[in-house]
Amino acid sequence: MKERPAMAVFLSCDQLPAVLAASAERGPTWVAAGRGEDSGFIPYRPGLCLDREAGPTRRTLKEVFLPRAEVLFGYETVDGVPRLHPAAPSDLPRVIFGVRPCDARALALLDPVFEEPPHVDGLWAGRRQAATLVGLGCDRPGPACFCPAAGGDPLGEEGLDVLMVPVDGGYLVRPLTERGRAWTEPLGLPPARPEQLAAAEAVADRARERLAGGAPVDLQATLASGFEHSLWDRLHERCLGCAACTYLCPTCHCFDVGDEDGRRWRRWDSCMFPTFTLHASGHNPRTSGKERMRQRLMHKFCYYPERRGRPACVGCGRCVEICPANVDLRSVLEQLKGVRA
Amino acid sequence: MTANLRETAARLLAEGTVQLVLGWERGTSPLRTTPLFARAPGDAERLVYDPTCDHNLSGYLGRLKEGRVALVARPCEARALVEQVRENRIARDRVLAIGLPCSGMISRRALASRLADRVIREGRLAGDRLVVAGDGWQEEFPWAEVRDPACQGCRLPDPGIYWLAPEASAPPEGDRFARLEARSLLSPERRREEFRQAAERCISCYACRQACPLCDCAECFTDRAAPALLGPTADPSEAMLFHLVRAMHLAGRCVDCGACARACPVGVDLRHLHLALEREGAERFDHRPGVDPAARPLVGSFRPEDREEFIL
Repeated sequence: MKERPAMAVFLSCDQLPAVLAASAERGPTWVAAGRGEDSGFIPYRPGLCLDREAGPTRRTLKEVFLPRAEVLFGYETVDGVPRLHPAAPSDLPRVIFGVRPCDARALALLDPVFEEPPHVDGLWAGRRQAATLVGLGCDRPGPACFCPAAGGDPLGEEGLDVLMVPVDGGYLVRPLTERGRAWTEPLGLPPARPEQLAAAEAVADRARERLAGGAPVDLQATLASGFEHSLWDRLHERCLGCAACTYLCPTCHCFDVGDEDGRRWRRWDSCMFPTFTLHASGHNPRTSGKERMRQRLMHKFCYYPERRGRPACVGCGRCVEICPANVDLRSVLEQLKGVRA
Repeated sequence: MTANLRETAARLLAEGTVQLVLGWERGTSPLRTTPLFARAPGDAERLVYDPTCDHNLSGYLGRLKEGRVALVARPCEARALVEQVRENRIARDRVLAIGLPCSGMISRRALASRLADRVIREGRLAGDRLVVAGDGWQEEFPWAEVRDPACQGCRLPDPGIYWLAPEASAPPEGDRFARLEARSLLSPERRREEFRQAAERCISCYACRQACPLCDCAECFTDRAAPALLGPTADPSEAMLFHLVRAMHLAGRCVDCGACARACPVGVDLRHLHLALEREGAERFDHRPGVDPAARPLVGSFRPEDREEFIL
């Protein structure tokens, strides 16, 4: 799909509302909107615009592709014969605007989970195929961000179709895929000038400088040997056992299924809940917060890399920001270096 | 104050009076603190106490394996402890409550709103001033301007619960029920719609339940599989049911510390549900949660003089 070098064009701040309106005319367009705890991806409506001062949205892009609850299929019995009615994804966003590189990368990380044959999740795949992701590079990463340590970049391109880099007076817009070109070309934007290209480079350098350090996420071997380490006994102590970190994590994707009125639902579930592993017999293999927190960390930083070659964390920092008890994943990972047997 | 606290905590640990001191230490983000489980006298050096200590520590008491513990207690911890003792969830002689004066806490939500959600890179308290800075800006103002509304009209608990009573403090004045008065001017439809919108935002992460020092059922009704009381959909009615049942279950027990609203990652604040029930209890039955460890439970006690005109 990818083809370089793609020509970068320039979109001025003044033109942005018109570009959004034009995009919405061509198909359902969703926009990263709002600031702070009230932010997320919502369908475009006139007047809605990108807020370049805002950090990553509190709600993740995951919600658009793996909704909090959705119907997988309906079922009924007609004349004694059971019949299934598969659900089709509805309200498909065609364009998602203002996607931060960490969120796009999270989708790319999840694709193999939902799309690897032979088990292709039609709802996920349908939404993914329909959507063009227009990204917004981070010129000012937040205090909790650590994407470079997690293998990402404030101007990362993975998973995006278009990358916009905020520069003085507007955005440098670079289509990255065929789909991205199809979105960008009809806009008829002027080619970026050399000084704008240079400005975009400077944005990247500044952002990367700010993100130096971060957290050690390359812990697969360490964790694999440290499952029984005594450190786990204390590590979970402050954790309240809520699901804020998993539900607002762009890569956490566990779900449960349940039936209601002839419909099978899929609904988010969290390894931080005791019921996640409660057996029908009443036995629960994960008896306390220790086992549950260990599972969350092992899944992200040991099991997932074992299966897919990289950790299931993009360093967006949401879990750091929202934990009511300020359990900071970065310092937890730092401590986990000590579990090596 | 912090020096005294550290000294007291270190002494209690060194003498073996307690095996653990539960307090706060500096967190990893600006103006954040995190619970500290101090087990060695040296750990006590990390204790801090200021208006950023916003997480209610009493909720951890039930999980601790240590026999005797000291609890760094603001009025919020103390009131919750009163309820925990009253309900026989915590043995009174197990906890030494080190009382601390409190004039309220900083609300991160109020702060974010005052700063229009600009990213805070640095923050510190200088006396009663709060200094916050971000990219190319700095602001300084009295921290009381971003005090948590939950602190308004704070009630100090019966000093009897403290092992070490706090110095006299001046709790923020005001009428805690003022918020209900404002809401009572809205039509029932409007209030219902606001509740529905809050439920729509709720992601059912149960941070409110987990942060609540008194929401400590061994099995929450939400976790029942048979019968399943919550459905699998994301319809707001599911979250409405959860929040209403939680409110009813906390009737006469909620000590209005505001931990639930502070814990919510998506800005849902349904404290008024709990406040309304507290007011009912106070007006009808003279019941005040978090004050008297010997008080009878609101739901589950009866006096002949109880008002019962609402019974048909």
